[in-house]
Amino acid sequence: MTSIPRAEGRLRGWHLGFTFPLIAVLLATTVLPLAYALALALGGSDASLVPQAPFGTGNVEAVLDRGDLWPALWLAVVFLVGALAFELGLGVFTALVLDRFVPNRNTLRVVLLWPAVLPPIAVALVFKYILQGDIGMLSYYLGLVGIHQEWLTQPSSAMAVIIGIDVWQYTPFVILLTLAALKSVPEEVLEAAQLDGAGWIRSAWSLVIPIIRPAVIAIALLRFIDAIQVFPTIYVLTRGGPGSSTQLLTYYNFQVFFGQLQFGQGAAIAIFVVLFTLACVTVFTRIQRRAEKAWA
Amino acid sequence: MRRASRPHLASRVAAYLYITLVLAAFTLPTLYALLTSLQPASVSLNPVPQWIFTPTLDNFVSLFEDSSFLGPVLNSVQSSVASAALALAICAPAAYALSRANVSSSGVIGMWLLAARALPAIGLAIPAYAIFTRIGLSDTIVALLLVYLPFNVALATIMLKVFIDGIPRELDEAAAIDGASPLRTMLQVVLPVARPGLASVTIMTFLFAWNNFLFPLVLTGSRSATIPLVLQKFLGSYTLQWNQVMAGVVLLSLPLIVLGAVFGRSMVGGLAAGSVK
Repeated sequence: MTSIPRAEGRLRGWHLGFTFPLIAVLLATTVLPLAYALALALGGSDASLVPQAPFGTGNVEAVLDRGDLWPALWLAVVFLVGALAFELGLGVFTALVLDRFVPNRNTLRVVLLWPAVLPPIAVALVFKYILQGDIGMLSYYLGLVGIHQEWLTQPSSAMAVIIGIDVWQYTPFVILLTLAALKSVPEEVLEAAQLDGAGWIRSAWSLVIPIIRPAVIAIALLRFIDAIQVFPTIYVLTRGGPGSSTQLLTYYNFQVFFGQLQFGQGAAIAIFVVLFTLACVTVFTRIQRRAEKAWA
Repeated sequence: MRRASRPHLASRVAAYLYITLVLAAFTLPTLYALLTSLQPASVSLNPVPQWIFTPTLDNFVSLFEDSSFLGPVLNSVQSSVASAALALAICAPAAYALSRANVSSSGVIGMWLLAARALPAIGLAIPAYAIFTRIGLSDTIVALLLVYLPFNVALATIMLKVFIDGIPRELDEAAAIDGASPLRTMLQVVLPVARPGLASVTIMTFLFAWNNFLFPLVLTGSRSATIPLVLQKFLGSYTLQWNQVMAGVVLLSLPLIVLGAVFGRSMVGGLAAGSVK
């Protein structure tokens, strides 16, 4: 825009007006509530939603004394590692297979998109239905092949179900995004590899995957942001149980604040959840940037 | 990994078998849910899964005969449409300015947007509940719109900025030489070109509100409950009828299935926004 300095001068600062509503909204809907949560964490009590002096770390100490925050965090990590490992492994592998064997994928794209856009509550209800007792569709057929399992009443299988539902809903989405990333792999690289006698598996493993690694890390970040908040499946299928075996971070936080009505402690946990998530996101973006540089 | 050479027959058979298996696993649960929603109670109560039966729309009819269902349908539609419109009105100018003006603070705003996008919902739900209870905003649609805002504006601004970045600046410059103000340039020159981007932003923000469960659960009561809440309440009823629950599930999912079929391509981009620069 250097060609029209006069207009630029007259309108200097127009962008401030354009971005002002966004900044006002962000201040009002992120900074303000988080500040309130912090005040509640430092000055809230079990009974009151209004922060009151004296402010102190009483709630933080109370949360640490409860001793159930770390197990909730640990379960969330187990869930995240399990869900992301399956989603990325299965998703990238299937995308590679599709890319190699199915050249025309337009209809497939729609089918793969559907699970990811379904309301999580709808998916949770469908799985509760097909897993119930012996008569749910899934548990019925598993029973026919000899797998009898009370899926939601055993701690380990309850966690497996929660992970499995997430894998079911979001693996197709990982496939879609990986397919998009695969388009950026230069054809010549593959041809050169083939001339050198590298087979499909070999060139996929040592050529293609390193090239799409930054994209895969980005997909992992997206899944992380979502998966750390897993809630509707737990609310509908297990309510954190049996025992507290599926009481993951978000559900635990919900339970302390809205279930046990311990407002101060609940707010303290909420602040922890926010800080933990943002710290993980920062680490992710660092790794992503490094992976991009390594390739460039 | 493209058709450099034709793969062997054996590996092709194995690959197609694998793909069929994967597709079956990803479609059968939803297909079965759809079938159940069309079953009369006599069929759905059968302990053996039934795939062939005479379909009926009775479950959908009885959903709408239930007067407690209509209100939540309206609430879902209102909150989703309004939050999409709101996000668009706030983000279009911001994305335009972030794309075109060399704003020194754009890096900070970008990080803020990423943080808002990644903000755990429970971290916002808790203070929002406390604040809304104090100022008397609980159980209103406005409360829902407010808590959806940070997620929606973050997603929408990131998506739109990427889209506007792809529109040549020469267009703006020509308009500026003709004496158009930045506002007019944006409204009459840039945004019309950005229509596909605006469409996908609208869909994604609609989707966020439509699918949300945690916020309606903690912030709404009988007046502003949305469809997901009603469906979940079915579970607590004495006469739990899965065919009716599945009819509700189908009804809730239907708009998204249609949107996915029509706007599939731009939705993939939308779901990925915020990760790929």
